[in-house]
Amino acid sequence: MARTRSLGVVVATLTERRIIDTLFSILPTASASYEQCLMDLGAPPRRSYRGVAHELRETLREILDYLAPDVDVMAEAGFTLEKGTTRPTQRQKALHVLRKRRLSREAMRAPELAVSMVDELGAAIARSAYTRGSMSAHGVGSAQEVRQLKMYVDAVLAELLEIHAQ
Amino acid sequence: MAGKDKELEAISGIISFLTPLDDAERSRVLEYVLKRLQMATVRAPASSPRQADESAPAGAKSRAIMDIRSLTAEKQPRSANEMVALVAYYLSELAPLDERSDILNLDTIKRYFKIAGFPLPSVLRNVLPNAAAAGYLENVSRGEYRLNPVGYNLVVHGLPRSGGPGPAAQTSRPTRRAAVKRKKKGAQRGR
Repeated sequence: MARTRSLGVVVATLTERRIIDTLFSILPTASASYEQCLMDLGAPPRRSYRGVAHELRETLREILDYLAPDVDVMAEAGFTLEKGTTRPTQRQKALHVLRKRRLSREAMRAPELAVSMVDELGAAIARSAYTRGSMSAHGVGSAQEVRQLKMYVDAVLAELLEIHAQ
Repeated sequence: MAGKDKELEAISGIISFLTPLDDAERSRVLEYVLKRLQMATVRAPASSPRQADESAPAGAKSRAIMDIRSLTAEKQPRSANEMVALVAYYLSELAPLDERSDILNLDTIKRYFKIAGFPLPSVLRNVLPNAAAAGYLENVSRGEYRLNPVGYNLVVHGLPRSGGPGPAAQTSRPTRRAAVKRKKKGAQRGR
């Protein structure tokens, strides 16, 4: 996780640096979003973390749309829409890419779970504004929850972008 | 002022501790200390040939590996997708200048798969679209592709794949009918 020193400098880890660099060459806007999240999470406590959570989910959505466009996913043999959806879900898109890489079922399980966690945690943070009574006690979406969300987003991005810190 | 003195003391202490060590040892110590203090993750300067390879610019690497066969032996691609990314990387970064190209097509693939001794896939025409669908290439024009940053990462940072579950074996999946048959057999034995 990136840390902020007293001078306000955020130092990205090797994995975070590689994610930023790779995203920058493919989707500069996603790269900027991700970098902004690092800065926001390293900065002094915020009143709301909903924006940071949204940026993180957007980064993942953009890269999934780039690697697995809807038409390609829907054209895959045996594809069916999940209940209540009109387009492939993020989980389906991630699995589409990993299947094309001929990963084994075991190898696909971790990123699949991470995408589901991003969906659930992200939605929970977005809802927190309405369900939490006292904003002063928690802020909107706590920093801890968003850091956890980032951990899952990092796991999926590292898999999708073939970033393996050695 | 007192704060500054403390800093100077720490700096001279660190220097005196590091002076007797060689470059690789210094890097390891500093990396560990920074991680321990959760200040940053830094990369140590290359101390082993493998690290040197990874951090060296493409030009420097090309001096060590000049042909696709030795690159394939070093990176050990396990699937046609990975091999396609490897060929694209070789052509754009390591190949001799007269062979160098950013663009890949079916003929190039056929040629370099053969040179590398990598088995040609049964349906060759799908090999490039498959590698693109896996996220390693981008389509430039009809039948022509280029290595993208994800493919580059795969070759430079991801290969050879270390332990763990690798790509699925390229055997055909059991059909639904076969699965039902097996289930029925099992049920009959159970009786």
